[in-house]
Amino acid sequence: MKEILIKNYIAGDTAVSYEDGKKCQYDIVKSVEQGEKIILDFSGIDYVITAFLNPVIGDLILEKGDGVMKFIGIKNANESIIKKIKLVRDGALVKREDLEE
Amino acid sequence: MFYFEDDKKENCLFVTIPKEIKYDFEFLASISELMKKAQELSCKEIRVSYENKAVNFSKMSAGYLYNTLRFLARKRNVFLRKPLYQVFNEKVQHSGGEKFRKIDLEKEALSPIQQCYQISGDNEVERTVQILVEFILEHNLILENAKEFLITTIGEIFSNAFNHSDEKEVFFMYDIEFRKPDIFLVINVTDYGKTIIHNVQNYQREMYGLEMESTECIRWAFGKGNTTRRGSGGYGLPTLVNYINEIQGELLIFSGDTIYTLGKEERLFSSEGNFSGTSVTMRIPLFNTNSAFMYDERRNKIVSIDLDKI
Repeated sequence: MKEILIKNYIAGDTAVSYEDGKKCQYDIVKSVEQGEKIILDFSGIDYVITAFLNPVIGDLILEKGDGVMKFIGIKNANESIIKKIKLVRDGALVKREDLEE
Repeated sequence: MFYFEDDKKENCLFVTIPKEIKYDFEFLASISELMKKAQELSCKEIRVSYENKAVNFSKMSAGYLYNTLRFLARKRNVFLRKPLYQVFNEKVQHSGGEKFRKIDLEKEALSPIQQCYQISGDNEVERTVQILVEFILEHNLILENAKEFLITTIGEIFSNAFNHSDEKEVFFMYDIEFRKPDIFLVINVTDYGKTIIHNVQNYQREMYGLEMESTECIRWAFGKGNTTRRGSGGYGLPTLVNYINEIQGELLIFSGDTIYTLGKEERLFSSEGNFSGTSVTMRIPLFNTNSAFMYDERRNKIVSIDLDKI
């Protein structure tokens, strides 16, 4: 199991950049492809916007399928961050279903 | 509102500005008409004049018009008659995002000068959002979770501007607006790149062979999970709308030939002309002067806040 500290990809307590999300996603994919479980640690992050979560959560599900969710854990995320993660995750699952049809 | 005349021989567009301009729909429609005419006529020169020497622009409209003329001046010469040049000189200050400093409500926000910033890159976006957040946290009496609200809304607006317009720089302005009895923070982010309409129409054509009307494109863009990106996305605009609704704020989006407004009611309609880009204006209620706040209109000054009303 590997922990990925989201704070390492951004400056400050706010994750607003798509590009930062892409960098994080790159590291997640590397580990997931080796069959390693990942814990995304949001400690020190107070706010995120969906642009950051799109690559980290949404694109990951779209590219790797819903099975990838078993390999991803979330830690130290506040209620608002969890709400946004769910929004992006659920949207990606619907899109993934559409792609498979 | 604006009066246009073109001289095909001289390849020149003449624009006459009325005596008074407020930042409203009529003004935005005139801006879109100006951009449309400049594109259609492919003029080499734009000469901007005035109806009356005593021009009276609101801060935000002066900043907006100035930004538009700067944009038009990228590809052609733009000349201003002297009093107009003076008005812009006195009312609008233009600088890069790195110059954006902590907002002092008394000194800056109530001043007649409109500050415009050209924002480029994530660092400048984060800095801008951070400064606005600090300002709201210090002065807001209405918003709950102000930080969450601002980071999400402004963050989504900037993110859309950079990721969908294909532009490396966007313009940012703010103002404090008094509309009795309320005081609002008004934020505007404008890019002169690919419009929402352009992106959605291309996407629909390529993916489904569909031709979509402009208003339909905007409606589609507001749907949860609808994105022109190949991948996850389409949550920024619906999230923005939810947050604005929660605080009973106002939102105005002008993209291509379509205007979307959200306030007491939601409206979507075609504009007179075509705006070459996307402009998003957000109006956030800060105070209600009837309940807590004393504002001296004559001196343009905040006088006091009653202790028992805070």
